[in-house]
Amino acid sequence: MIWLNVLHMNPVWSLVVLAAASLEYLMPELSRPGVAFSVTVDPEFRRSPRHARIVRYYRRGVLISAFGGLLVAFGAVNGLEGWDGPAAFCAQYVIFLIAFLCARAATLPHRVQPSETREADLSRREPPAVLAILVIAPLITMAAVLFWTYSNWQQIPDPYPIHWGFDGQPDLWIERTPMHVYGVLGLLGGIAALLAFFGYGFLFWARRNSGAQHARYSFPAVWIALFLGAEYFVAASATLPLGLDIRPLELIVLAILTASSLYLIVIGPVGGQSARRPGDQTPDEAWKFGIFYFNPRDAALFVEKRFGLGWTINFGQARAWVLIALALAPLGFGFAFVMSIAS
Amino acid sequence: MGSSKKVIRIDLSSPVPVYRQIADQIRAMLVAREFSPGERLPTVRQVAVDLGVNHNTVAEAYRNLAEEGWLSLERGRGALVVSRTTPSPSPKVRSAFGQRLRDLIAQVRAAGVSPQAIRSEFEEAATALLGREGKGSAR
Repeated sequence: MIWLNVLHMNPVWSLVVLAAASLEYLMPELSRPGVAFSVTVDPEFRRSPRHARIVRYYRRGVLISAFGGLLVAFGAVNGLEGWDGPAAFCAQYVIFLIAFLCARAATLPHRVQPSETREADLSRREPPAVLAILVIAPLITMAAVLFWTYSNWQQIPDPYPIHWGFDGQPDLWIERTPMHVYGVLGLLGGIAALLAFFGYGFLFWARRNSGAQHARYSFPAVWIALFLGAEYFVAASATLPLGLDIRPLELIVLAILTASSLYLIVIGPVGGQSARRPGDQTPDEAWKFGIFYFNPRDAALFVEKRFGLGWTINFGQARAWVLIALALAPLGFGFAFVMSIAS
Repeated sequence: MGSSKKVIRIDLSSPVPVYRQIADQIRAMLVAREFSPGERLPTVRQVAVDLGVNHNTVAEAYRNLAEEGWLSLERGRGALVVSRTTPSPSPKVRSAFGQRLRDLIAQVRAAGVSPQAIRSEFEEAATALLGREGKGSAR
């Protein structure tokens, strides 16, 4: 019975489903004026009754997606055996995607030619090199932890906790075996390296638009702070074999992450782009399904998303595929590792 | 001068090649002394990323300016503005300039721009680019 499962549902995944749906609900408001559902439109179109109607239908779809996701999280689908959470997330995302693609199809007839004008401010300088050190520092810390672990194996508690519940008590322990200890470190190292790659990419390989809007909202700076915060969080978690109580540090990093996320949601990508011309300095044809950016002629590895917060990868570049391979490797390793612990 | 914004704008729909648009605008800034010798221009990669064009396009523009003696190119570190001695123009250059000017005036006049507007545009451009040296220079 579904109503019984409410008491036993996974609260984290239910919150994830609700948070994702809430963001998706707000997304039409957060998109920049010259773009609607990833289609270049006249900024006036965004104020038209036609657009309001499309948004209304889209939001109904998002509400249905949240409902569907929660149903799965509550155990409405049999046979998932512990995978209710990820399945709930996937169900919500698929229904949202259908709503988005329908809204995009309804917006396409109102498409206008995007501006072909591009700007670059030659007086702007690259971010200082010290920021690169800030990105790399957690990786160096993790390498030091790896060295310490190797040199002081006997000092590692056996078993030691790797996860804490909401009550602050450890709820997952692992034995002091090379596979477990180095497995956790490898997994965290892979995730941190990926976050570092993104952080570095946002700093040095992403398009920075000229114009006062950028400086006013500091949108990229907050986004970078979010990724760096996550990287430091992961690096702090990697010090677990040292037996240090890192919870206060993690709480600080979590507070920074939450504040950055809320700031980004409130400000939205509108701050990151000039609203003077239709479009966002990217051609419509390069946006596959309105989500994936594929433009081999664009030197930027990261461009701002048309629908959603933050940046997306330019899949038209070979470097993007290296990044995807880097992303899949720790994820694959992590999945295999978690399965081995579970068994 | 050093801290003011130096924005270049390109139009991808223009018949003028993008590398020429970039080189022309940077040259105009250099002539107007918006960059002093010893100042560094952003790297090719950075400009290409900001403009959303290929690296080679920006590299071509930088190479043209380096060949004209405006820039010294350093791999990975951008382009250094160098002090450049103005060459004495050959009769061929002056004649080509006159021809281009006449063609341009005819073109904009045919498009309906008034003679007063043409004069004022020329004066404005000359003042912006040539400044104090605009008047009384050798002919």
